[in-house]
Amino acid sequence: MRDRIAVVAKATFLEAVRDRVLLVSAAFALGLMLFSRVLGWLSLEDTLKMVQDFSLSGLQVLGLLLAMLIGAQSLAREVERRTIYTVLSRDCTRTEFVIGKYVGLVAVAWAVLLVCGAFQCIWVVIWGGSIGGAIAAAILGVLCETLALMSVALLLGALANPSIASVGTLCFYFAGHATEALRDLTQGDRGQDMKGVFQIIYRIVPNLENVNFINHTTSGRPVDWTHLGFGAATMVVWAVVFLAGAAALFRRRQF
Amino acid sequence: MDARLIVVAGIAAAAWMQGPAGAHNEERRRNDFRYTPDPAVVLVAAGAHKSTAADLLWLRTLPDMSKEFADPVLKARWIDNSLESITDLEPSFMTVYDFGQAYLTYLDRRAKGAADRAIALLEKGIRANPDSSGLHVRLAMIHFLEKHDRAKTIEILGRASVMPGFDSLSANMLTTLMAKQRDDAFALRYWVDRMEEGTPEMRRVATLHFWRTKNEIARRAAREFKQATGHAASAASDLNDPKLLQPEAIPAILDGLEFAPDGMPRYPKLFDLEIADFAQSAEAWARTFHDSEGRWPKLDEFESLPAAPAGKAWRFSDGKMTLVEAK
Repeated sequence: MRDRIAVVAKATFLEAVRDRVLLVSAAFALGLMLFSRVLGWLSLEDTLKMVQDFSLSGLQVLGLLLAMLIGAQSLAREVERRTIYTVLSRDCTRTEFVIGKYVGLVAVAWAVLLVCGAFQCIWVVIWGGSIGGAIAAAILGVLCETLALMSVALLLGALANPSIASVGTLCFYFAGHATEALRDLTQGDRGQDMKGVFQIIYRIVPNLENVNFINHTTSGRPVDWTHLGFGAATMVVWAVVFLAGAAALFRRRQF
Repeated sequence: MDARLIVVAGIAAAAWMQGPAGAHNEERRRNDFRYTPDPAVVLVAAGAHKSTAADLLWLRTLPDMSKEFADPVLKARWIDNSLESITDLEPSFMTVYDFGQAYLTYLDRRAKGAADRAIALLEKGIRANPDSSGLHVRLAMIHFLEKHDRAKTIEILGRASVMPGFDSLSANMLTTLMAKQRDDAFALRYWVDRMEEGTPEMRRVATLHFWRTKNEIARRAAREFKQATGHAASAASDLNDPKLLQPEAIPAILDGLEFAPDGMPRYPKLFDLEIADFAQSAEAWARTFHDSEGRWPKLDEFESLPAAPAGKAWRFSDGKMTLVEAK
């Protein structure tokens, strides 16, 4: 079973690496990193902060773009090219195929994110910064977030056409980062009638802020690695849930 | 029709239309039309990119601080909303608290409630960054300069005094205020503690401030002695009175105390320390001068050269400032 998953993962990885979308997405993220220096000039005395914030934001958007443009289209492309028939006619099950796809997609996303993350570290050092725990935590957080995003993209890709799956992944990204702020909206005397609703949303929608450590880079406070570890664990749990859902949907799908 | 012609004509038409359209944009985007939504909504909308959103909003707000708005009330609302949103998005964005309070207390000081808004901003910053001595010092300065609240100033500076990065100027202000409040022992003990820690330079500065504080307290006591007795004090023993000095501080204050012929207290040790401090600062400035001009400055090029004591004269040679016998 493991061999079959590895074969699908490797094929997915190689296919994604050849995809031009990957290059365009990475170029966008690198462009944002380079542009951060221009904003640094405008900020009077926060050059390094601007460089760090925009570079890390670019990295996070890159993770989203990869999930939307590669992850959400991955299953549909196999069906469209009819390669799915060849694979499934062997003794590879649909569940193994979905898991292999997921592993390959996460591997390629992580590879691109790590390359861009390394570039970002060099960029920060060039402008007088140092690479500490906060930046490492922020980059690790982006990698963990990709676990959840890619699984959602696969789930939606198994359910609907690639365009809807891409938009759905984008909506999931916004919702996942807004639940905490929505819940905080009702703290104090404000919006008491919506308090219960936001509380439920906060509990049942995956909270991507669990692994968002970008704000830590400027606070100067030490990173609590337990928080990051716990956040990473929640991402793994949600990824398993979405992946199981994707496998279930893909098993029922008629070609 | 040739498609290329349509493209060229289209670009030309669009470029022509941009003139009036741009003018309309300028009209619509006058300074007074700035708008920020509710800070709570900004927090939701920023999503994953709170730091970046804070940066962008700050870059948008910063130039507006020095711009003229036709309606100052609208400007105040825009700046207040922006500062609130930025510090919600990024509670550790120190520059915003720093520039924000400076804007409110200097540039916008005539506006109603500017000092209270600056205090609210800094208190928010302190809640989010309780270990920042810089925010405490700025808050204390507003209470001192704008609210004239000495007790609050001392309370805030006292809290800041145990935090890392508390600068010697602020510490000097704290101990001077404490001395004015007759808490002589606290003021002296603060500098004694500092004299035992830190780098040699920090210990040197603390020693200088310790003697300056003693001088400050002795002057206060001498003034009160004169008011009470009708004549100036002439010996250290004149100030040995718990009504003039806090009892536990008396030995330290009287140690090394002399009186000038005009009845003013003085410490020869402080004089030596001040001379050494001046010489050190002058030599540092001279090195900078030497690096930029390629020569050492002449004696008359030093700014605010203090008067040399009787029979002495300043001499500057090879980067060293010394006192020598006057010719």
